Amino acid sequence: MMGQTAPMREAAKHAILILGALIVIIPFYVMVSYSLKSPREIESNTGGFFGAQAPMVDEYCVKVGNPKEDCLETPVIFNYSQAIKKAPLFRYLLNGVIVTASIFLLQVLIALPCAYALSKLRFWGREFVFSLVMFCLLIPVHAIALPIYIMLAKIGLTNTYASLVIPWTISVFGIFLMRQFFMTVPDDLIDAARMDGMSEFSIVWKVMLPTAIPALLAFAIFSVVAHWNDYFWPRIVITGDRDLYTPPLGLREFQGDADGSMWGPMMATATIIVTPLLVVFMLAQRRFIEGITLTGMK
Amino acid sequence: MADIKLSDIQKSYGDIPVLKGVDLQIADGEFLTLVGPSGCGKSTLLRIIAGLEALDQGEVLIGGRSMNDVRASQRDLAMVFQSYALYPHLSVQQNMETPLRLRDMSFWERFPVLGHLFPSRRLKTVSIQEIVNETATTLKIDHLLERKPGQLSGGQRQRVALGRAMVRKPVAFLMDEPLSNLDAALRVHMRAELAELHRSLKTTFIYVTHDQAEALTMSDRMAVMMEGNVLQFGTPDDIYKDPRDKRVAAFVGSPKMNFLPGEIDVQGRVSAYGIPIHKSNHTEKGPIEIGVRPEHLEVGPVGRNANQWPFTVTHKENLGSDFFLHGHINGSDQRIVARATPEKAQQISIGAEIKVQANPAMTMAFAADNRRIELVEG
Ligand SMILES: Nc1ncnc2c1ncn2[C@@H]1O[C@H](COP(=O)(O)OP(=O)(O)O)[C@@H](O)[C@H]1O
Ligand SMILES: [Mg+2]
Repeated sequence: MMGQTAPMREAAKHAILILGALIVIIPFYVMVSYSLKSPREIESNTGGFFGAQAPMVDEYCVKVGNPKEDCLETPVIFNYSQAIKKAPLFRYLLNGVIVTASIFLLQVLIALPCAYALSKLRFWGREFVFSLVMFCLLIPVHAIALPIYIMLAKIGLTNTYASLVIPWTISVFGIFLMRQFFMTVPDDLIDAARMDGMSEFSIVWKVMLPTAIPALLAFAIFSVVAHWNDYFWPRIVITGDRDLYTPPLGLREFQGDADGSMWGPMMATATIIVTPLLVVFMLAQRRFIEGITLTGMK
Repeated sequence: MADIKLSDIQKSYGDIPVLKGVDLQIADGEFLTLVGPSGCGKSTLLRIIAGLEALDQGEVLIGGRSMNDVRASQRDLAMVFQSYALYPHLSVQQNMETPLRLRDMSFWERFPVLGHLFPSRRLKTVSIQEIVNETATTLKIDHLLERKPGQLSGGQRQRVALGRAMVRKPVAFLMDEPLSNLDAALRVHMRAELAELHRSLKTTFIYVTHDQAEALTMSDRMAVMMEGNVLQFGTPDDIYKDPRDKRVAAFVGSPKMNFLPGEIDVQGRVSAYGIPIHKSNHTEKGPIEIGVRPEHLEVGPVGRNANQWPFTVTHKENLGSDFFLHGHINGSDQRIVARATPEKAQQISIGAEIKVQANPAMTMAFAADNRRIELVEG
């Protein structure tokens, strides 16, 4: 009996997992596919994944008075060159890097000492402080967005890098994650460092940080993905200056103006935006999973 | 001179007292063992000496100087932990260099990149490396210097932990059960090696263990701790032969000392299981406990002496050089252990009814409150 039911159950499990994977992958598939096709193929839903790559006419080029023959382009080249040309996409990418890196570094700078204190130092009220951290995990960002915006506006920080970075520097999730990891670090290691003459700050940076690399990588991915892809907050605090746009804001450039949405270039932009994340994740995949499962040291 | 003096050390966690007024005087260069069952406060006491734990009351003096307000790193002590506590991300060499770099180099000299601008850094690095190499050679770990702790065996890690403690040439080494994570054979080997190391370094060792055999074999003096008190402090010989407390007598020695129900009659004569043991005491009366070590229970029949206990053998334990006979006296259900030579043991089978007799010179008596009662001949 067992021998017969087990393969069935395995098959069912796999079917469910495959279905789940498909649901996650399809939007990506559509994104990449649209970034390769001509507008006509997108509208009529033809051309398979790659599209026929038949030369297409660049309507805008014709509109400004060029002869039709000069405005023929291969769709894939058209989409990607539009993505780069129409908006200063590299500038946006650079902004994205500056903002996400600053956010992550500041988060680490604050979360590690906090996590160390909450896991390894004994002081009055520690459990209460930790329960406050847990409580903060429950507050949705949107609920406090408005007060933060008003505060930033009052001190004149809207439309600056600072307004993109400062609200995110204290990550309660980071404190929580690192605290859970630090709990697994043996107390003896910290005492050994104290005997060797390290200060508490040196212990955080020279002992705890190196042992916590896997957990830190996991946190890095959560943090970087969240802030790289964030559309909501930059949209609120960056109102004028396009030089401060982050990549997701760049997507707006292709959103329906008079000549309708330009799906091809828009999807090309989206593809360019997510590629760095995918590459980094692939490189860090193994250690990322180590960090999540919190199998630190023994 | 770096004698260590502890006076009236008290410590509680919450309202649970862990140390209840410990006094100890540790001479310079001595190998002192703190021994006692798990949870008796040995580690806590060691950590208080190290400065890793604050004390509630009392004083730690090193070389006559009060250490109560001195930080752990300023006490010039080195500690070896049970888990070794090596920095997992540093090589053996870097692990051993760390305490020296922290002590001898300034903050700026240690600073990455920038530190190289200081000419003094080079000199110090060279001298630190020399000390590390020398220590590594002494401990026979010089071929492991490039490895990470994760790539070492338990015994090797133990040596690295020792090395990291040795490089600083501290006034005293504090060791918290450093051998308990090793396998039995290596543990016995390391006992001898640690004792030798102590002799060559001539530095104070304060060694914590729950293993009475380690304490007996290694130490110059040992302090037997129980429930936050030092019950007895003396040489291993003293403590084995002349325990002042029943709990000390029971804890030290393997197999354990036998305790037989006995009493002191109105004439002051002492008997156990109703048979006199030719000892007396004229100040105490009533029920007491008679302590006899297995090697002091002679297995008979011995001559024609009538004062022997009938003994039923239930188990024979063969140690090669000796046998331990387990059994019951007078049919009571208390397990008694007696030592016998292999020749004698061969003639005794399990289930045999034999006689045993306590060696009067080696018999001790304990009062109900664990106090030792002095006995005299007769
Ligand atoms: N940080 C602590 N908080 C509360 N109780 C502790 C702490 N450390 C030790 N104890 C308690 O103190 C007692 C003695 O501990 P310890 O000194 O580690 O014993 P030993 O090393 O002799 O086994 C134990 O009962 C232990 O539970
Ligand atoms: Mg202990």
